Amino acid sequence: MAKSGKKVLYLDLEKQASYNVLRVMSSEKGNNIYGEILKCRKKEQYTSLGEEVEGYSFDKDVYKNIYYVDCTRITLSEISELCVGGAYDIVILDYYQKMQSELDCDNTFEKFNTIGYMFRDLTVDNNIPLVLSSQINNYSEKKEPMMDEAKGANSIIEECNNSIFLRRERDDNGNPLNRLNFWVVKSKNGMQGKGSLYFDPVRGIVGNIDDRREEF
Amino acid sequence: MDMESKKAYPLSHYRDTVISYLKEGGDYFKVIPSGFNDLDFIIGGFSKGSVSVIAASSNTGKTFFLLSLAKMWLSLEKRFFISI
Repeated sequence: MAKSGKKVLYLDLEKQASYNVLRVMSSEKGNNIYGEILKCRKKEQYTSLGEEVEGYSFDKDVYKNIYYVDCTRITLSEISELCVGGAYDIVILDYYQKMQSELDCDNTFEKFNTIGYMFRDLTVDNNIPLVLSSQINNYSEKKEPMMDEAKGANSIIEECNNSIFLRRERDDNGNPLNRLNFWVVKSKNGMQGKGSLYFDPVRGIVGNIDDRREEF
Repeated sequence: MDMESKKAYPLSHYRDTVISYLKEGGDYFKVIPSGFNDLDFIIGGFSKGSVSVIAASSNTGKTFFLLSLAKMWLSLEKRFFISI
């Protein structure tokens, strides 16, 4: 596949494409369509929502350049085949713990260990960066995240080039704020550090705080 | 470069390939910036051949972070990061 312009390969192993379409609609239109869907109980409510979103377009170039594979089970060989010939500039994989191993593994630890090494092969062979998300245990809100917080993901966190932990900031009553803190506990260039991003959970937008300075 | 080739060559053999990559604009080596300024300052963007893990507990906003990352990078103008 010949490449023209920038292209992202996006794989979400946790949810089907339709859910992320709703998320994108929410971010574009400023109303929480994703949340509205979850509240619907009657057929008429779905129909009404369908009529509301019918006019929403995905004309922006960014949406034409995010390529989505609508499957919740995929192997690294299948991802590698998609990337042949430099078809994509970057691969984003949501929730890597759901990856399928092509090899027989005796236990979960061995599975993630094997997949971790294969991720490195995928990125090096295809000369692309891979960004993947990993779910971790609910660690204490009081302390900074540690490498061993990862849920069955220690091997990939040790094997990867950059490890970034995210956490929603909360007020004194435990209510989440519109700030997403990040900790870089490991990076390819050796730097570590932390910072904050703007997060609008209704519209599902994450961005630079500097762009929303007036809200802080 | 031909990663499938198992034949060994002197390093100088690859010189012309590298020069052509650079003359074509360096896409082969270009780092992908996340578009999140503070994060890019620390990690220097996502370099080719790298694996980056975004770890968080459930309901933190991992998917929104990843979707925003894709959108932000696609919206960025051409940048001139070169990673070696």
